[in-house]
Amino acid sequence: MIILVQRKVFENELTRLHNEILLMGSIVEDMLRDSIDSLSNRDKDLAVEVIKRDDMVDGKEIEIQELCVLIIATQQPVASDVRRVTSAFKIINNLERIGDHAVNIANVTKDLLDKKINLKEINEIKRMSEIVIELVKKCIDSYINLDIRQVEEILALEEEVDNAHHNLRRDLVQRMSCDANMIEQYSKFIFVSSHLERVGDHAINIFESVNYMVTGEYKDF
Amino acid sequence: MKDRNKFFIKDLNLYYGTFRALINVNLNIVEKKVTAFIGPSGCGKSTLLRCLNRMNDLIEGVKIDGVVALDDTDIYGDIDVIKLRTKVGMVFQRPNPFPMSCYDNIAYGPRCQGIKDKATLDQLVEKSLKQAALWDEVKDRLNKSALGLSGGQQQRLCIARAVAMEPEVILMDEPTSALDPIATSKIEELMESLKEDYTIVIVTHSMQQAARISDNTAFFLSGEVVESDITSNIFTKPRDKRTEDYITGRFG
Repeated sequence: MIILVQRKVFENELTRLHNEILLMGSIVEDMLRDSIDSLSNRDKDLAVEVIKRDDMVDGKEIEIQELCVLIIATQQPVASDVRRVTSAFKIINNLERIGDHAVNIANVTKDLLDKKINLKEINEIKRMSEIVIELVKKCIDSYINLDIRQVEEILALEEEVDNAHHNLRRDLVQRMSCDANMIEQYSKFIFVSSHLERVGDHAINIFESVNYMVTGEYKDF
Repeated sequence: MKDRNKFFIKDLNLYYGTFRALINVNLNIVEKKVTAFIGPSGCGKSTLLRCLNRMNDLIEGVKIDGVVALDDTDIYGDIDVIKLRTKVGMVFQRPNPFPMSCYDNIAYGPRCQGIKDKATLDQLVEKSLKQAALWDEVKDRLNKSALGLSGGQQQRLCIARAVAMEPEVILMDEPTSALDPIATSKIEELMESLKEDYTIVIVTHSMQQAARISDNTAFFLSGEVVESDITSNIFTKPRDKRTEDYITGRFG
């Protein structure tokens, strides 16, 4: 006779793992948004707040890693469960790196506090950040729902991010050659653009992990 | 080098009276690899294992149709069953040494085969016990009763007894389920070396054991082979949901 069994402890630990990753994703998404807000509003307090949150993110990464190791050691997961637990290592690593980029952007806010900046560059950065934040959100949603069907939209967003970075960097370099007084500011904005572009890469890495969780196949998007 | 099939099983059905215990089984057993049969109790694993050396012939009311071919020869055709069981040895769940000395346990089969020369028997006994990783533990007590050995040692003695017949295949029906973890670990290590010379088929209730030691795994359910594949695929990305549910412990 075949009966359904409940591995209660195991199920609870998998649920806990899922929720902890969601929480970490949520913290990191907010950090990214707030780091751009701090830059566009020249808000030093918000920038400092973002930087402080990095400790929380680092702590979460360690906590989730330890949970994964515990699950592997005590529950011997296989099949989709082992893919889920091993993918969690990669996902949290990428989330932690997104948090680091948000911190780097917040540091640029602090660096430029007493410098003249133009609304034009702020708006360009904001536009790029909106695409990046949407990309991060979609990739995290794919993890929440274990749904990889939005692959086309996600890849399209990634391409937009890459193009935005490429164009902004080119334009800022050109502006630097015309206005020597703004070299420092334009350089910093190029850094911000690079950080946002790297955030896009980390979001795609998260999506690749979700793809592996769902299909069992490694695919480089 | 391409893997060669030792056994080829095609459209095999087995009946205990009117009860159909194996249903259209199609499976290849690869030579010099460890193949594990897993599945819930009563799903046909041991029944199929016993088909591979015709041990089911000893059960009244058993009927078989289909093909079980060993090296391309149908073993249910006109063949010498005793010779078959020499080629395809078996180790059972409970260690079952004969009530005689360690030496005589190993020498028994070869003596039945007509080997009388002491030097030859001595060599065979030593070689078999070394292959079973038991020689060092029993070499100074070969003439003492095998019943005085520990459970794990007795099981390795049974393996040595099987390899003394110079088989090509060793069937193991839950060989470690009656043993402690250390004895289990020794048997599992032994299988790693045995598969260099023999094809091994093992029935096990322990998924972790199947995952640890086997090269290929077949999942059985209600008399059918639901899925068979290389072990790494079965345990990381099974194709069938029933396999996934069983190995993740969602049903049993």
